Amino acid sequence: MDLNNHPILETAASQIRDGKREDAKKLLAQFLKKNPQNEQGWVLLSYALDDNKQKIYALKRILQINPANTHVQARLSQFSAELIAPRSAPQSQRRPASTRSVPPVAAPKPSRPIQADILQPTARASALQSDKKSLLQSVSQSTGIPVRGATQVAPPFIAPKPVIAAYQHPKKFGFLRQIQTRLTISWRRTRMNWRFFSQSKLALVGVLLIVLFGMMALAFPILINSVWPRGVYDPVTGFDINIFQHPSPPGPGHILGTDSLGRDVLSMILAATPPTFVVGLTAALSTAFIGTLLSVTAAYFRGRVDMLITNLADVFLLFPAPIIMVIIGARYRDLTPLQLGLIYGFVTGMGGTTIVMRAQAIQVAAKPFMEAAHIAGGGAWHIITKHLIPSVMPLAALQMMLAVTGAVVADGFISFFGITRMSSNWGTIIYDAFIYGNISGSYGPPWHMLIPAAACFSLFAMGFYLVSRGLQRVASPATREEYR
Amino acid sequence: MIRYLVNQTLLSIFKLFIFISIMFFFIQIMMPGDYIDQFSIYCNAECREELRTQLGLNLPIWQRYFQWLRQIATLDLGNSLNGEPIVDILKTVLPATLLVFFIGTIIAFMLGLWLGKRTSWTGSALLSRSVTLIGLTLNTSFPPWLTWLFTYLFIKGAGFAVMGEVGGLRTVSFMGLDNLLWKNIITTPSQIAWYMVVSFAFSALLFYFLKNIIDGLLHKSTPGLIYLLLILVGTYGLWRYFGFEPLAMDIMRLAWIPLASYILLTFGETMIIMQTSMEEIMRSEYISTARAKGLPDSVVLERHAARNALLPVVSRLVISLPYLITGVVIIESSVDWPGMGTSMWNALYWQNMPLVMSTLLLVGIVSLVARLALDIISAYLDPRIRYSSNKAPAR
Repeated sequence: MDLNNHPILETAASQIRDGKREDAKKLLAQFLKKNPQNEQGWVLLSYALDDNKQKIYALKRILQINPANTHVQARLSQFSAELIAPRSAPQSQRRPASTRSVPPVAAPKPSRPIQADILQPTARASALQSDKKSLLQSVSQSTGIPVRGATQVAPPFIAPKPVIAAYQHPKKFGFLRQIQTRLTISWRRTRMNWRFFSQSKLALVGVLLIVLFGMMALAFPILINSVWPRGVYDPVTGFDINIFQHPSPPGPGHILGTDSLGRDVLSMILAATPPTFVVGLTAALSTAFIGTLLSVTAAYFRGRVDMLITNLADVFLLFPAPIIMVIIGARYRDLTPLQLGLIYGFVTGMGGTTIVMRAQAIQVAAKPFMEAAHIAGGGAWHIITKHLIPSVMPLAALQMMLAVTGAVVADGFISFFGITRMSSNWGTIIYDAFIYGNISGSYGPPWHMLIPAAACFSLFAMGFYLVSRGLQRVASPATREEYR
Repeated sequence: MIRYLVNQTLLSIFKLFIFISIMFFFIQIMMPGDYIDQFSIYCNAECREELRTQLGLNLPIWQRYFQWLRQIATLDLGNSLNGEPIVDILKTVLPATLLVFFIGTIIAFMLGLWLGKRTSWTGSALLSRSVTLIGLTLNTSFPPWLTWLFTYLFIKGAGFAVMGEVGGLRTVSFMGLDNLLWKNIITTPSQIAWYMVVSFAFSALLFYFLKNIIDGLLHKSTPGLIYLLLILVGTYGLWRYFGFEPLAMDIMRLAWIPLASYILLTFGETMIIMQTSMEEIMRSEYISTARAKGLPDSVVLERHAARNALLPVVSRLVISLPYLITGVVIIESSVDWPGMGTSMWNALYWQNMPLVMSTLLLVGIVSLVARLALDIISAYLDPRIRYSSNKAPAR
């Protein structure tokens, strides 16, 4: 091969010789960009590449340029055969010229990738010593270029097998295939995120807690409809006639005992779980929705819109959400958990969440890729939905989780002070224990009511808090860098 | 900078005005009945009308609104509906709140900062994880339950009758003070509470300057916990020096319950934010550089890492300041502490609107002033932040 005409090619060849395949790859890529029709460049690239599929692509390019290159044809067929059945590739198909410093007839090691003899200085030296002619021959064979002094030996031509077609890019995707691809990608992404998430043990504890409460929420309707007789175990009207003095300590039949009105404490606690979930999740979703909407709008339009939204958020930050809930509860006495969650979510979403998320959205909007999106002709809708919202989404998730904690405590607080006439709640259980629980009497405080209810409070809020920390880990670019 | 501050101040006043106006209409339209209806058991319709005319409650709501605005504009908070001047009520009520929540916020902040620094720095995963979990559990626990637990466990054991009234709920207040001690003393408990708060603030400032001077001389950093202990000892010394120590200790005997429960409830949040902030800082390369230079760990932690991690924590604290009023209401009303929260809660309950609105006004002023202070502090802490008058900073 006449490399002297191309200093770049010579450098690349020496790099491949020294084992610097990556550098050679870069160099060759640059070279081939300028001279895409250079056959020798492609040949060298096919040696620099590691992946068999890529090699096949390079070899195909060579064949496009020079279909008569028999050596390349042979290699191509060999690689494609290897790709299909790497182990069982018949040795007879391999080119003897691919061996290193050994006469061409010697049996090659089957799994070793083909290496060019010209690229091996020792091989060349030894070959020179032994037989100059055979070297020239091998060079002419490996590059497919006639070299003066070398006899042209046509390698056996093996036609590429049709299986290669499977590796070609399909021109048309079916609908199912598209869905399959999307699912695969999202599954991979989920798995990666889960790996980041599960690095933190505390986040796993949080997931466990939420699952536990979910099971509690599911358990109540099942138990009340199957095992527990309604008259005894109803969370509001139940009364156990067989026990004389209420409140009674934990015992058979009542795992957590009964309260002063004769109701089963476990049943009350289980029954309070679904409304708490509803309050928390409604608050979380509405907070995230309002916060995302306002912050993204502010960050995209800037100027007056931004000023308006920021100042509005500053005003809303001053509103104490639980007190607002109490005031609204004073007028509409029978507020459902859904409505309470919405009120809390609205107030915090307009206030704190918007302030925190706007800061993030502004930072994102100032990044170069946003400018690129503008230049590329993206409209407001496209940029907001495709670029801004996805980048503030992790923070929105975090704010959601924090809102759950806040809403649950606020809900407990307002029912604790008996302001609203809501369904029973962990707060009301504690309140009942205080008020009717015979605290200062001979029995002492009803610990069996107080401790489970208080623990439910802490653990429920903590579960969401811990998950939010895990999510923060997933969202943070710094952690991603670490594990990339 | 000055132009920016003036602009922001004017904007803050405008925001405050909007907040107050919304709350004024919202509460009055939303809550059924009014102040008179709460006391109308022995009163017929005519009598009620007469009382309403006396208090000016018969006017339409917008007229009352403008009346009240005119009053506020002349810096006069007016009278509460039961005839007391609101300034006097706030004067008696504010020191008790500050005693618990000002001191509590500072202690919780420093404790959380110190723990956050330690847990994110040291390698002992078990210890730091358990500290984190304990802080979180306390932070997410139900406030009334915690205060009640403290009252039950400690006050009853101390031997004075507090498990009174409603099943142990309304427990700690100035009512529990030692009568013999206060018999011949003219100053009221709230005045003493005020002195206590001022001496704490003085001690904190004094030791802050001392700490800065000593740190500068020795090229070392005093751990936050030692600084905190020094402040507390200094406060006690000031109480002794000015001679109101027995009275102050008598108040503290009751005040420590809301104080301790408030600290335990809130230090976890500061700790967590400090941890996340530190985690990001610890990854940056200048920390590795500092350690590679051979600097001692304490210097790297205090000078290089913690100082840079501080800004998000401070800004979060200031942003969450308005939420403090919720905490004040919850904690104070669950122990019946005679502070602003209880007073506002009761006023809301009786629909004593002038008092409610004045309290909200106070809260709004405090939090907006804190926001302005944050802008100045962050410009001081972070030299990259510069304000121009027409561009709001990215918070």
